[in-house]
Amino acid sequence: MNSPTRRGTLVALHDISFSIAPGEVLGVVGESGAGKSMTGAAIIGLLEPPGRIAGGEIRLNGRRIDNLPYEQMRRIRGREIGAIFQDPLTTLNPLHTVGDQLIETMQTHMDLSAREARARAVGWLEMVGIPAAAQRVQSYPHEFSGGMRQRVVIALALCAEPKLIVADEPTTALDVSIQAQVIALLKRLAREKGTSMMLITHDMGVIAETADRVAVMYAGRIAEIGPVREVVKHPRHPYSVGLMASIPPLDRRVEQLAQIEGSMPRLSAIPPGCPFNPRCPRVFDRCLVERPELLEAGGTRAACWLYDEARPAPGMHEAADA
Amino acid sequence: MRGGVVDAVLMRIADIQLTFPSILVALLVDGVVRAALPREVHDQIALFVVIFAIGISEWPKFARTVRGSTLVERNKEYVLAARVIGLSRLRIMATHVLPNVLGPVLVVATLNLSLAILAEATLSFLGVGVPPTEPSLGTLIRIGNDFLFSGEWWITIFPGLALVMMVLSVNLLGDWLRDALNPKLR
Amino acid sequence: MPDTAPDMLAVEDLARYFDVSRPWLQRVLVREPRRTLRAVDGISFAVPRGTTLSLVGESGCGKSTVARLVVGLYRPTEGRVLFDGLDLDQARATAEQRRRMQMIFQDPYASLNPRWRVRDIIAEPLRAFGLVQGRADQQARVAELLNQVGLSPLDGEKFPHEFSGGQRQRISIARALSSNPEFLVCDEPTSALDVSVQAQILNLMKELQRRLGLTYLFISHNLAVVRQVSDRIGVMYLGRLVELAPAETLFTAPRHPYTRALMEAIPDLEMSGRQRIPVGGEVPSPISPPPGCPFHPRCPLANDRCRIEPPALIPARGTPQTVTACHAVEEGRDHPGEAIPGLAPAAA
Ligand SMILES: Nc1ncnc2c1ncn2[C@@H]1O[C@H](COP(=O)(O)OP(=O)(O)OP(=O)(O)O)[C@@H](O)[C@H]1O
Ligand code: SF4
Ligand code: SF4
Ligand SMILES: [Mg+2]
Repeated sequence: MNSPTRRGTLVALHDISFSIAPGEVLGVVGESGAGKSMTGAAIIGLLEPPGRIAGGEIRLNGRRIDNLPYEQMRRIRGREIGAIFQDPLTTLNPLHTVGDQLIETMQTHMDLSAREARARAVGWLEMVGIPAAAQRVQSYPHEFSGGMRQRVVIALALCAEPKLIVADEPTTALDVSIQAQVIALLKRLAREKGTSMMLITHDMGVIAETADRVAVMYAGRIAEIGPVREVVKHPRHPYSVGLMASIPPLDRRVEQLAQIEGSMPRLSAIPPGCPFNPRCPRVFDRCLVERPELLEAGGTRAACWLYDEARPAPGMHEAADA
Repeated sequence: MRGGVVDAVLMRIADIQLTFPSILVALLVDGVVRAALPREVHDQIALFVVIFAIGISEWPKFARTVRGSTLVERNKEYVLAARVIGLSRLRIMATHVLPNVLGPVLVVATLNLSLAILAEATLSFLGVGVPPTEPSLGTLIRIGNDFLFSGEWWITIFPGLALVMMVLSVNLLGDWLRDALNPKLR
Repeated sequence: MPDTAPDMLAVEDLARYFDVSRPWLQRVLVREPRRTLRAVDGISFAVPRGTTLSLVGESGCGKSTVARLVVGLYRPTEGRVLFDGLDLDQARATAEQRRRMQMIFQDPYASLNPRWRVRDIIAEPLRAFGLVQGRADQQARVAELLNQVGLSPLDGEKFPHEFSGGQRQRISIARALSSNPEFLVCDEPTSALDVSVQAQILNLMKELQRRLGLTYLFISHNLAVVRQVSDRIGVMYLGRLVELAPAETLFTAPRHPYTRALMEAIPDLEMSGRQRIPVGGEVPSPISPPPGCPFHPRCPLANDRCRIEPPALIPARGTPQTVTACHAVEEGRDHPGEAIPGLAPAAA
């Protein structure tokens, strides 16, 4: 995906490839500026202009959707792809009751009578845990608290029963105790309805709880992708290793937290070779010139030359012991 | 909380005044002064009366802009940091709040400067601004207007063009000034 | 204790109410009474010299309000703040005393004046407190401070927008350290940062504490972060302290049902397969807090007494280093260590 900027064309995302199976939750983690949200936006077809997809394709159920005209894409959004964003207030229309918004979304995408749609709206509010749903359908968004609003947003994203949900930081604006409720809800609904989900967040805990597989993004690329257990417990890519180690543990106190020196490069100033090379503790000469592709890394796939079996890195056997 | 009453009163006055076209307010002020002062005194200070009248008619926009930006800036954490140090209100206002409020005010100011020039021209055109003995674009245009159909179109056109150019350049200057004062664009 | 010096900070029955009534005219028109928001409602704690006390709690529970009360940005509605044994007004009367306390803020984008160069930002307290003589002296001190927080002296020439969030937070810390403070109030200093950067800042803060003997009042909503930095931890709910305990005790033996619920709610990185039990319900509004114990609408252990009588903060049975405000703990019906049976989700 390329995005032209004032200073020329800025390649914000690079060769991102992944797939999500029905009913699967793919977590996407990374630090701010890693390109997580842009990946999500590209899939929903809502890249902010002048951003655009310069290469590659996106397929939904085998059908290519990245080159569809706007009108067709609009129909797919909502009907086949649902979106949940961080800030529930910007998603909900303050001028309409939540019931009307649910009904409108359902009637746009499904063939439902008014009465049926209303009944379903109440059902959805119940499903996402709004108490006294039958009365609350008539409420306006501002009459709900933050956590309840986010649940309404979830209901709205799910009510047309899409096949894929792209959730961008759905719990970040919420309190821990509410977060847990929302995560549990998302997880349950994905499982019950067989919906695929792309869960974008910077919170590793949320990923560990919810996702089946996880992609770690760094500087607009996937650094590592694999089953969540492997990535969290035995990360292979040096960046994932650093990222996991820097998360403060809840169950013990450590005197010195592991930290990754430096900061992520701006997308306009990514170094040649491996984008992580200025900060990587295991950098070696090849990293400075050649850009690594995703390589099989025993359980996960990592974009790191340490895992190139064809050309083993110097000192690789020590690493295997560690 | 201090200043809350002053704030409330001033802002309501501003609200009310904003419901009138500002040229009307300027006309009113000018008329009042005219009626209050003898003719020869008025002619002497006419220029200042016009300045005053236009100033009065334009102040609510500035007041609102300054107030809005100040409310935003003064709750920012860098202002709190200065308060924790114990700097005086005046010093915080001068060194922290004012420079950051200046940007939006500058935009309003350049827009309004051109409006003020037009207002002066309008007042003079209507014959209530500065006396005909003093040079003014508005007066020139008005005089030219009388000759417009007798072939001397240039009496009106040139002051008119000058007016347009002036308004445009003030706007451009404002844009440039705002960018020049913004460290992010340096 | 042989050391009889007063605590660095002591807070006694501190309360701060905000008037959130609508403007007078609207109030008269819709016949609405004045409304008071009790952001902080009678809390007490002390921070001994050289230690860190953390306050945790969910959004809106009053953490930042406490922080602002402590540095004098707000005046208390009731109660008082003692800094080094002196009432805050006295303790902030002279520049020499004010320089002893400083504050670090949450938002690295709003806490630095965008129009000032970094060197001027850091030098502001130096000049305000008259801590340097002349330009050369000031320059040297700013360079030293920048080094201390892991930046280069050359960075002083730049403007804040040229830095990343983590670097800006380092600049904030340098500014706070410039007056050689003894006491730092840190209001969510890492909440806006990415985890890897958060680790850098937390390590830096811990190192500075060791080296300079600083005392911290640390505010955060992240229990895992708090565990890394604190000696003691206070848990706040709706403007009140519900539990105050040594850090290790709070994590090994949390007592108040709300503390236990919070710990339950944290996403589990260990992936032990443990099914988390979310706390049901939502935080009530501080404008009309529930009577009795403010947690009772969400508390599985609530009984009639809880709905009427507000519990006092008293030493907990079994773990006397912990003080907690809960009738169930006092009555011994809280079964510490076991899962609370009804801590069930309202939603699922
Ligand atoms: N100046 C103010 N005027 C009116 N209400 C206020 C003011 N400051 C804070 N409040 C209210 O007081 C309560 C406590 O706010 P505070 O900022 O202390 O919470 P917090 O615990 O820091 O939350 P967060 O985690 O979101 O920062 C909130 O309900 C807030 O809306
Ligand atoms: S390719 Fe080299 S620099 Fe990049 S992560 Fe692997 S070892 Fe580090
Ligand atoms: S006092 Fe009662 S309601 Fe409050 S936390 Fe204890 S048991 Fe629950
Ligand atoms: Mg706060």
